[in-house]
Amino acid sequence: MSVDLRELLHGLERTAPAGSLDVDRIAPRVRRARRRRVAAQAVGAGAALCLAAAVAVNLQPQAPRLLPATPTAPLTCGAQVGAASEGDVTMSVMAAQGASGVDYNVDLTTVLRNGGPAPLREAAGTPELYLVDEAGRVVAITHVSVEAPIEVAPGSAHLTTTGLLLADCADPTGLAVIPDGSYEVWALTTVEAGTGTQVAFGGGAPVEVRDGVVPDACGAPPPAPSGADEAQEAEVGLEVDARREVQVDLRWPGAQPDDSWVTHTQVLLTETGSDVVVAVGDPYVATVDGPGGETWVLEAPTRDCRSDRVLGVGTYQAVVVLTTEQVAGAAQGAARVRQVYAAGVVAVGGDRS
Amino acid sequence: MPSWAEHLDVLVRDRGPALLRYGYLLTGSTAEAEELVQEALVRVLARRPRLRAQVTLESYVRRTMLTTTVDAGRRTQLWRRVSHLLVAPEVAADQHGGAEDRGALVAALATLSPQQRACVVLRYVDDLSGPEIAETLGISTGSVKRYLSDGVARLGRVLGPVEEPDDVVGVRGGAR
Repeated sequence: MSVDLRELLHGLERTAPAGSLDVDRIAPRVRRARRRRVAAQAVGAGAALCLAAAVAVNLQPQAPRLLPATPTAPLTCGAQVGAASEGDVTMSVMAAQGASGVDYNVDLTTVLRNGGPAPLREAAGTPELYLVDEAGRVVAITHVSVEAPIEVAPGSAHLTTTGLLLADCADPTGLAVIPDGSYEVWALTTVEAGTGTQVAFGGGAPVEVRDGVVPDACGAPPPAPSGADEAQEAEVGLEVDARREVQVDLRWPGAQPDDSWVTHTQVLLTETGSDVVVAVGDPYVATVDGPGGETWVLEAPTRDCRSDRVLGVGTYQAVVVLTTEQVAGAAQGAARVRQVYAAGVVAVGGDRS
Repeated sequence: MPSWAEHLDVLVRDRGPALLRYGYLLTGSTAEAEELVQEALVRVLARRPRLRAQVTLESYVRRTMLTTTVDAGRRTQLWRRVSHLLVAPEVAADQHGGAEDRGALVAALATLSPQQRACVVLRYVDDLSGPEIAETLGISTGSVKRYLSDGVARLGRVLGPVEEPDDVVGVRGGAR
């Protein structure tokens, strides 16, 4: 006897657990979004497409200065970070590259992966995020608020999109800015898995701080990969739609059906290949499954960051920087964060409406 | 003409529970359903300055919930792989079995990708054809065939053989 899926699904819909919606929480979000939309719709319309082969560069923590021992408990301000935890339970961090505008917050996503045979549960009060200086010392700490205990099934990964506040943890007022320099972001969480409690610790995502904030890419030369580890592994498409919103397509031609990646996106446009005139990023990750790839739209519209006006008609050189990690498939256990660079030309047209 | 805020009030009050239940089908989680509905409301009300009818607004919200679900990375940032649930149970679920089957269905739905899940909901709950699903989600009919075929196959591994709807010919078993 076969199952009547239609009846089952309608039954599930009728008996679904009750939730609640709070108008007072939704309305401010609508208000902010409408302001952005009004600005975007005044732009006029244009569309263009560029396709580019991409190169990927592995992002590795600055391992030589790390202590060999993995921490066994949350770190304190000024503490020296240890090596990333290894084994069945791993943690990695992907930091979103500079979006438009400066921010005292580093947007990032943590990936807690359970490669073991038993489910694991994240203990109450964790995780924590650390900004680590070039000497390997913790200079800022953010405690992540988790609404409900997190359970991760065997073979699963749990993603948390969050932010690290750039406030010097050594300052009792919490107002002192972080000195200029190169830093890394690490994350630690305590999990209960099978035999007991253990720490998942990992990261090394690079972050630059200037004047106390993560600087906007506007006005600076676009980044270039320092060396291609895996040329033409990814195919990246870029389109600017009628509202000047940016659509990104990502495909991994060699992917298997079970492969899955999560990806932070940054799009940079220049007029001449020199200074960036549009820098748009996304604090959230997109999920890309299998060889078919995925398409997503960045929420922020493109604006000329020199004038904060709509992007003018013309041809621009584009650089797409994707910070990506494979979370399922053959390479799942590698916990390897990479940056994928793609470059090409995008033409932004006039009003078509 | 009502303002967007008035539309929001009415929609949440009158249609909020139905939207949340639909969101539960798409996400399998009450908390994620709440976030999905909120996100869809924000997107729709931000994009539609002139709204003529509440029914139209709700249809926009449902469609946005679907497309947001497909764009899984933007929806909840929560990703799970539940391959252990793909093991076929010893006894296929009895469709009249109540809470036990409901649990099996929830577990089976959790094995689907967001794309597969959205296509299954549109096919079996909203009774849309393959081309209609493709139009709703903004994907090709070939992709719809693939998502439906794979999704139903995955459900079948947990629930037992799935009865095909009368007009499913041409939807199942498409080219991969």
